[in-house]
Amino acid sequence: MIRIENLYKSFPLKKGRKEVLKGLSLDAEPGEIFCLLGSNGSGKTTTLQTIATLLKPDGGSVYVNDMDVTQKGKEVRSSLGFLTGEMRLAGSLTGREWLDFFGKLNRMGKSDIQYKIEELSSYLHMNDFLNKPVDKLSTGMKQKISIAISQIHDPQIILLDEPTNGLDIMASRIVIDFIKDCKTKGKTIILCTHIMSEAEKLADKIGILINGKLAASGSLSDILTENHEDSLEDLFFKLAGKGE
Amino acid sequence: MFADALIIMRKEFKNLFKSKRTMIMTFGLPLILFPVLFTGIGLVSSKSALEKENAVYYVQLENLQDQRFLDLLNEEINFISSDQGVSEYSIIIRKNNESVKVIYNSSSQKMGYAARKIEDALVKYNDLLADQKLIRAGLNRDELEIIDISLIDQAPEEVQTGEILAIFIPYILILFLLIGAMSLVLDVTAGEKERGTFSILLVNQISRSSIALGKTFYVIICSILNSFSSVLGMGLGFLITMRNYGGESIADLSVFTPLKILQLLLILISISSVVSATMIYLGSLARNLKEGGSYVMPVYMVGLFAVVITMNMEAATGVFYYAIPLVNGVFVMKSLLLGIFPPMNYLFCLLSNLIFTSVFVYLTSRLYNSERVLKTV
Repeated sequence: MIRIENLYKSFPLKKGRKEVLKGLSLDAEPGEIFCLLGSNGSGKTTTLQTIATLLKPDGGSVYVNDMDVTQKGKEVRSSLGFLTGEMRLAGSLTGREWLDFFGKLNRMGKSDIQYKIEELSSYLHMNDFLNKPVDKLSTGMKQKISIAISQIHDPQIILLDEPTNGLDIMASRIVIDFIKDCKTKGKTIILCTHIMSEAEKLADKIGILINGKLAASGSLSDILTENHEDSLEDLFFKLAGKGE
Repeated sequence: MFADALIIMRKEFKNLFKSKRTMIMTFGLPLILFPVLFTGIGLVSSKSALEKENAVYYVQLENLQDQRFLDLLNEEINFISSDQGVSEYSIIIRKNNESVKVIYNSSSQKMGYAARKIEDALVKYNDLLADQKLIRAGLNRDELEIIDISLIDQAPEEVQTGEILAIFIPYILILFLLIGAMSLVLDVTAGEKERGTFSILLVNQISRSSIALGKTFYVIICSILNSFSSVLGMGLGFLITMRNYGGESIADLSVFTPLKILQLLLILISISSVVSATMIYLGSLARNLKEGGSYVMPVYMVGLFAVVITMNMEAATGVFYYAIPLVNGVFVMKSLLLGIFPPMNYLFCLLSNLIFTSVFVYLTSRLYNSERVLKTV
């Protein structure tokens, strides 16, 4: 479960500070996909990085499974799986070696790591390329390994930052199926994206982030009804227009 | 913390060892490159020397037709008398009363060689004329040498041979240590940010100080290995050159006793620690590889400057010098190679380098705990 209350976050500029989040509040329950929609620079990644304990809030609170992220960073991280669209695995290590490495970083035992690797390999159909260097793999294969890395320690909370960014249709489908499967397993998912169709297809709740605040939040049908719009895209442009 | 740092280090090593290309470029290339380079230089120089020796030179002789001189000149070079003046192929020997001028164009290496050989012939000719004058005066040259001068060096043989090593070994070791560290640091810091794996690395159970330490350990060991392979490659190159083209051995390698190697290794580890920790910190500050290069390059330049200015200096006596990273290492290595073990300076050098390393590892772990490290744009 994730609960964000009145979150503020700003970054220093050469002169003054840039306020990115201005009182953001949201909550996501287990078995739920919360989709955070927003244009570039709207604060989506900042929100995820704050949940992941990479950034410290200026104000407000962030709770993961009722643990304050500023107080219990280590415990919070043990329950998080973080996947970003920017991640580009490179080098001579094989997928298996990457998974082994991240398993160790998450303090898993040798046999647990092996068991989990086999499970993920079978689940994501990686058996054919798991022992090949990642440099020799296609983008889709690399993305499967990235997904497996985020799942090696079986986290209950999944944070996804534009996970289909730059992927072709086949690789995107792998990610979408993975997100759906996480939901059925009862995991709490926060998905940041600017792709409306993805949000419509996957989200239980949608939050439209405009200028650091949620301009609309709730289920797709609720927010469309409240704002008298027929499509998410129209609603987004309407709210974005107001925000400007 | 150290066990966690080892996980990071092992992963980086695994990545390095599995990349044949990187392994060859980092450790194999110096071992192959230097012997090939030295052999090439040896071949080219011996070929060039032979060409100069066998060449026929055009010489314009002005007021110097003495057969005795011509015989002496003939012993030095193959020449044809000509009236071509000075060019890239010809030279003038102009005698005017007691003065003899050799006029040549040094833009041609061959003419430079010919001028030196003509000078040798003229010195012999001068000695010949002087001997004849002395004989006419009833003297001989030996009688004019009133004092017999000879230099006797009482330094132990290992110190005498160590002098050359004391100039070159610290220079080569530290130079390649800097080069090795620079190329690896960027990959594990700014490179990791650029590949988007850095933030993922930070979202796990181990402390960020362990991540900083693990990366530093990796760079320390790799830069030392790179430095060693470069010294071995150069040593091999020297040996091949000596064997193929004659000449005395540049130094007696018996100077490298196991104890001395251990002492040198400790110093090298401490220097590498400072260099690696500093570069890891600066590389981590950078947002991308390009910026990383511009942050790390000044360390390389300052390091190079420190090594070059101390190359021909004697080991300093003031304890202050042993607090300056790199300079302290050069001085201690020089002393060791000259058969001197200065315990206080040695310890002070190790201590100073340890303090600098700790400071930079601490700064890096603080940086990894701050938000600044996430900046990629």
